[in-house]
Parts: sequence; structure tokens; C-alpha cells
Amino acid sequence: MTNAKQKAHSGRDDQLAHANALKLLIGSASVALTLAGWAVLSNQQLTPESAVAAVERSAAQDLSTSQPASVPTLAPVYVPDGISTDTTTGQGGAGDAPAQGAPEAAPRSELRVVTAPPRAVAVSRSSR
Amino acid sequence: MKQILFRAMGCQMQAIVDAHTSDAEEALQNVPVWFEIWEQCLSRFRPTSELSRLNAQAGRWVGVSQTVWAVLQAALETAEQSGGLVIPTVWSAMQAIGYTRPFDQMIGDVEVRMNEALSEEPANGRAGWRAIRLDAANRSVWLPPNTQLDLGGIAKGWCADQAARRLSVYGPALVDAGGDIAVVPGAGRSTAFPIGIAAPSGEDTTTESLIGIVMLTEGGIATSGRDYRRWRLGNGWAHHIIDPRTGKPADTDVLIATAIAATATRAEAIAKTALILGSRAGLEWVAAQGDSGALTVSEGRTVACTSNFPLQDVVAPATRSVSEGHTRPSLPMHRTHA
Repeated sequence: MTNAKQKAHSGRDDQLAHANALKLLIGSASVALTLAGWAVLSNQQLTPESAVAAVERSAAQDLSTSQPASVPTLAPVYVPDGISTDTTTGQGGAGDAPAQGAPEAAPRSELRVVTAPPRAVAVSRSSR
Repeated sequence: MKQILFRAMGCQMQAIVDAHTSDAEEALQNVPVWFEIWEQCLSRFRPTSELSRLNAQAGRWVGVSQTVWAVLQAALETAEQSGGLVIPTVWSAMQAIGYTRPFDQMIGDVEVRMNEALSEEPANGRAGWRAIRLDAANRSVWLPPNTQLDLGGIAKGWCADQAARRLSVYGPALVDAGGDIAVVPGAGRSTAFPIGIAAPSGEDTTTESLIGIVMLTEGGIATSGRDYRRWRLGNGWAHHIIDPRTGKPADTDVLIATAIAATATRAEAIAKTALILGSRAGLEWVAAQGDSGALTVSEGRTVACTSNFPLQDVVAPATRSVSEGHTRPSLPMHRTHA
């Protein structure tokens, strides 16, 4: 996270950097969910806690190594109540100040990141 | 992935193969044919089915097909493992509560008239299943007099298992037989299929909520419920899950029970047992089996599951506490449109 913040603070638009980080996070979360898939029950017991933890760990690792690039602004992502990850970019280290004549730094924005749930390919339900 | 959707056994069916070959696509076209053949063997609603002809010859030795033989053996094993709660001899009880035709043909009936003549019979069949005799050398079955079979308790799960195994030649496969789902690896690969677990059906049956997602690479998941297949009977409601201890629809707090096991057949049996026993006793029973996990939704929309149930709600982690072998997650209800 720290590296991503620092890289995102290299003078480019905060909103675009956040959008790129969000795209990487969702992509890596989807991969992590697949990796955390359920095997034969008798051989591998995957608890929900470990599954969610695997997603979070993978997402954090991918985000820390992401390479910010210029990307179009993404549409807002649904963020449910109570689930949020503050990935504010910050405004640089202590003592930093805008260069003389430079535009004021954009107001700090709070980005809430959520892992998109996988889309079910089938649904187990009582017989219809 | 390749997919086929179709109706069979009164339910919506689906088969998926994670492959891109023309052979896989051709194999998928055969799945409805397989189910039709199995339905001709196993349906209690078709007068010409092999099961109906067997039922008409109770008290005599009757040679049966490999399909009926295999499903009957699985049904008797289920009866033993469930302590006599999920049994194949509930045909009379089904007749007594009016479940005499496929449910999709019953929809629209305001009231189903109870068959009063059958209701006076000891229709639970509880002891009858132990008296069934099998001759493996001749693949023959002897049903006790006045005993008829209903294999609906595990038939869809069994068919899902068989179809998935046949498709696995082409790649990882998923077969959904009306909500009883089998997943297998194939062609040297495995795929984690995201499978939703539906919340109990409400008054509006055109929308569906998901409790959460399970990622399944191999095994079976099945849901048994009294939320949808129910109908007015007299002054109350009847549903299709018979409790052999009473011979009547199970009196339970569980609306739906979903189970995960090594096969869809086993999962279907586990889910029904858990529903019949009720949420607390049912989940304790499942936990004691050691080879499966289950989740129940009870009246009041209370969700509970065994500690090993791999439910993923990636929108909001479940809040869990361990209590006497099962956990009670606190899950929001997500409303999604089918």
C-alpha cells in the first residue's frame, strides 16, 4: 500500500491513480477467489475465514506492486456499508509543500475498495 | 465455457463444461437425452416408467435396469445413513398429501384434495424399506406387499453425478439438476465454479436472493426446502419432504437446508436429513457425520451452518461464533435479479 501511495503521489491526477488501483484490486481478487476454491470436502477444509483472508492477502500484495498508469475514470463501484478500505493517497511526506505557482493539491478523497463478488454460474436452491 | 439449459424431471437443468472443443459442445447436447432416459426409469409420475412398473409388482421378484438398481442401492444406503429419515418408501405418503403429479402441473391449484383413503393407511413406510430384498446376481428387486418406491429423495443428485462424470472426459464440468449440483474436474484440470446459494423463496417468485457463494472444484451441493414446493391442504400447508416418523410433511423450523458433500447424491441426502431434523439437531447431526457440511435458513430468516461450511460472502464477511459444533453467521440478504 505504501509504495502505491508514493507512486500515486507523483504529480498525476489522484482520481485516475485510484481508479487504476481499484481495477487491479478487483482483478487480483477474482484470481484469488479462484485460487481459494473449494476442493473435495474430506481432503481440504477451507473455512470462510481463510477464504476471505486469502482474498485480502492477495489483493494487498498485488496492490503494493501495481504500476500506476493513466487509465480512464471508472464508474463508481458498489460499496456496501461496513466494508471499506481507506486507500487515500496522502499529500506527501511531512514538510512537503506545493511548488510556488503550482495549483493547490486536490482535496483528499476517500476511496472505498471492495472485492467484487464472483458471479455465480449456478445456484443451489430448493427444487422449482 | 460451454453450457446447455433444459427442463427435465419437473425442474430447470443446466450443464457446463469448461472446454472450448466441438466435442464438448456435442456432449452437452446429449445431456437432455441422458436425463430423459433416466426419467423413463425413475419417475413415479409416469405410468410407463420402470419404477411405476416395479411398484405395480410389489410382492414379486422383478428384474430391473442398471439405473434403477444403482439408484435403489444408493437410496437404501441413504436410508441407513440417515437413520431411517430419508427413505425410498414414501410413495404412499406422497399420494396421501396429494403430491400425485409433477409439481409444475400442480401450480395453479388453489387446493389439493387429500386422498382420504390413503391417509388411513400406515403410509410412512418407515419399516418397509428394511424389508426390501435385492438379488445382485440377477439384478432383481422384491418389494414387500403394499410397498411402493419414490426415489425422488436422491434421484436428481444421482443423475447430476452421472452426467458430470460423463462430461468430465472433455473438461471440468458442472451439472445442475434443479438445484442439486455436481462438480467434477476433468481432462487433467479443475475449475472452481462459483455457486450461489439461494435464500428461501418468498411470495414473489420472480426474484431471487443469494445468501452467498461457494467455490466448488469437486463434489456436490444440494438444497432441500419447503419454501417453494408447498400447497394448501385442508386448513394448512403441505410440502413434499416427508418425515417417516409421522408419515406427514416434516414439522421443522427449517425453510431450506443446503449441504456440501463428496457427491451430489450424498449432499441431497444430507440436506433432506438436516431439514427433517430441524436447524439445531440437523446441523449437529451433519457435523457428526464428518464428511459434509450444511447450512440452514429457518423461519425468521435465521442462518446457521456447520463450522466447515465454505460459504463466501465477499461483500461482507460473516460474523461467526462457534457454539456446540456449529456456527451462526450473521449474513445480510442480498437481493439480486435472476
